[in-house]
Amino acid sequence: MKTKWEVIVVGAGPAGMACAASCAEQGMGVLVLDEQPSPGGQIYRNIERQRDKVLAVLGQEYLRGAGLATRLRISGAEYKPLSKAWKVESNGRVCFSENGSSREVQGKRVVLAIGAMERPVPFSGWTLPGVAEAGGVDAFLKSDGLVPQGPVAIAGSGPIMLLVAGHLNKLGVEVNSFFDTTPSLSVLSALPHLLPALRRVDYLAKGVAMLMETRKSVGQYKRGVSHYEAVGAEHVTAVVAHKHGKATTVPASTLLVHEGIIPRTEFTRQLRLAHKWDGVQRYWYPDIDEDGRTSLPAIFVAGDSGFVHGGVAAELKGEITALAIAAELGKGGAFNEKRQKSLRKQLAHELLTRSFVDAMYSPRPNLSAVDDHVTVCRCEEVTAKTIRALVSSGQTAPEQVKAVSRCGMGPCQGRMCSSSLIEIMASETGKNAQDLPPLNVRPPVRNIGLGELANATLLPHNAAQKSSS
Amino acid sequence: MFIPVDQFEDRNVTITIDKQEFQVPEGISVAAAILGHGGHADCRCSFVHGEKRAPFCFIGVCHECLVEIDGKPNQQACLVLVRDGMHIVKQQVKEG
Ligand code: FES
Repeated sequence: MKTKWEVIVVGAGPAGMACAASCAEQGMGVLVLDEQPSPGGQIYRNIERQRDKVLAVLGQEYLRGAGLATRLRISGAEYKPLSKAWKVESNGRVCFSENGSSREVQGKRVVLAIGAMERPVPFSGWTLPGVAEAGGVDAFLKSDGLVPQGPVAIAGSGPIMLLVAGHLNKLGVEVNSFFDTTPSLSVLSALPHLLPALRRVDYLAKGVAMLMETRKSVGQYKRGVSHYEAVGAEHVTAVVAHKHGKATTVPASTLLVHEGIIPRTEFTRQLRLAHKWDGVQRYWYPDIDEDGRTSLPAIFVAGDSGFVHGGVAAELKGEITALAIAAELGKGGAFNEKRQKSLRKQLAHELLTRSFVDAMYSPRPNLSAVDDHVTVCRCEEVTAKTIRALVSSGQTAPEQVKAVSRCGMGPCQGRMCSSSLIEIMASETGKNAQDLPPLNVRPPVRNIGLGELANATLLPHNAAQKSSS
Repeated sequence: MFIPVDQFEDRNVTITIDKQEFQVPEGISVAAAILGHGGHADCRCSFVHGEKRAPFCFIGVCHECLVEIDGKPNQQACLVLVRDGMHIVKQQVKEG
């Protein structure tokens, strides 16, 4: 395989597909590294060979991905499925693992388009089998044609919950309860953002329709739930929802949870790039310009991993980045400037509802107020109690708490616990979460076996470094 | 536990899960084989206390789906596709 590329795109969701296809169409040599077996990302997962029955349920919005995937396939970009990038260097070098062996490639530009993930939020019983993330289970339906065993309870906040409830309902899965934790006051903080959102009545109307449909289709719909827990010995058997100090228990074979979406920042953090804090959605996102440029000339970020704006926006951002790269590398045609302008306009239109939705579904204030016995770090089984005890014994830096407790040191490398660790420490110390330094991310950012690491095929310069060290 | 949405006419891939043989459709993930076709509700046990664990994120992030595939431990079942003749073992060992 070629080792030198003009552009290396990491991820093949809407941003990655649009960016890679556009770069390749403009004559650049493009390599796409994707962890999934086929293009689409999570939103358009398995778009190329979807089962009819699932397709009927996912509908028009999902089909949008078909055009994108085809565009990527015929663009001339080299698409590598099941390939996990595990290190990105500031000079455009990328190490990735495929089939148990690793090698290094070099790009003049690297576009990080690794998307977003559901915000992991610890609660009592969340490690029980049968408890899973709602959006993840929807992605599993797309790729593998499986639905969770009913009765299903859905709990948390955000539009994705409605979407998933709708899909399950149409496939005949019993959703017996829907516990909405969106604080009722959120609507007040969202109101100031309503005016621009009204220009997208289509979008808002769709949301309302989804809400009505969910209310009709689920067994019970409870609003204003403050928190919830999963109960069971070796598998979830019941879900308890708390509202105004009163507990409601429902039987459940599956509990699907969703507490919003956050950008995946493993590579931008591994590269030690500057990040900014979003106070509404409470997450860190990389500091990039409107083209996706970072402070490193070789590194770009496109799509939801830059800021969560959803699939259509991600596609536009991917293409905008492609045009910016074309200009930098002296490619692209005379129409690029015009095209860039029109893309920015489309993006602005797409984002009209975003502040409204973000404020409406901002994380509830009690997210980190979990009981002492709750496991925060799933991998190393570190409880909230351990973290709080370390804080009260004088550990004030998250890195210290990590080193002592092992919170964040397991196979997921802190992906599931680092944001809760910070939030819990912040509320213990009375600080703002954004004032605590986030955990460091070091390569390999994927679990690569030591043998594979030692045998990685590196490019000349690094190979020399490796043997001399 | 998960249930297939349709019949999957072509079950042309033969695998084993904890030594038991299954015919599964091609193109599905190891996680799907375990949870949707193998009758299991979990993939591994937790490292410290040995509690049962099952896939949580389904997008390659949580690492709750780690299994042994063809003798190689710690493989992410949600990111590996089944292959004919594949041997999958649910990881029941604690760390260290
Ligand atoms: S299910 Fe989360 S990594 Fe596989």
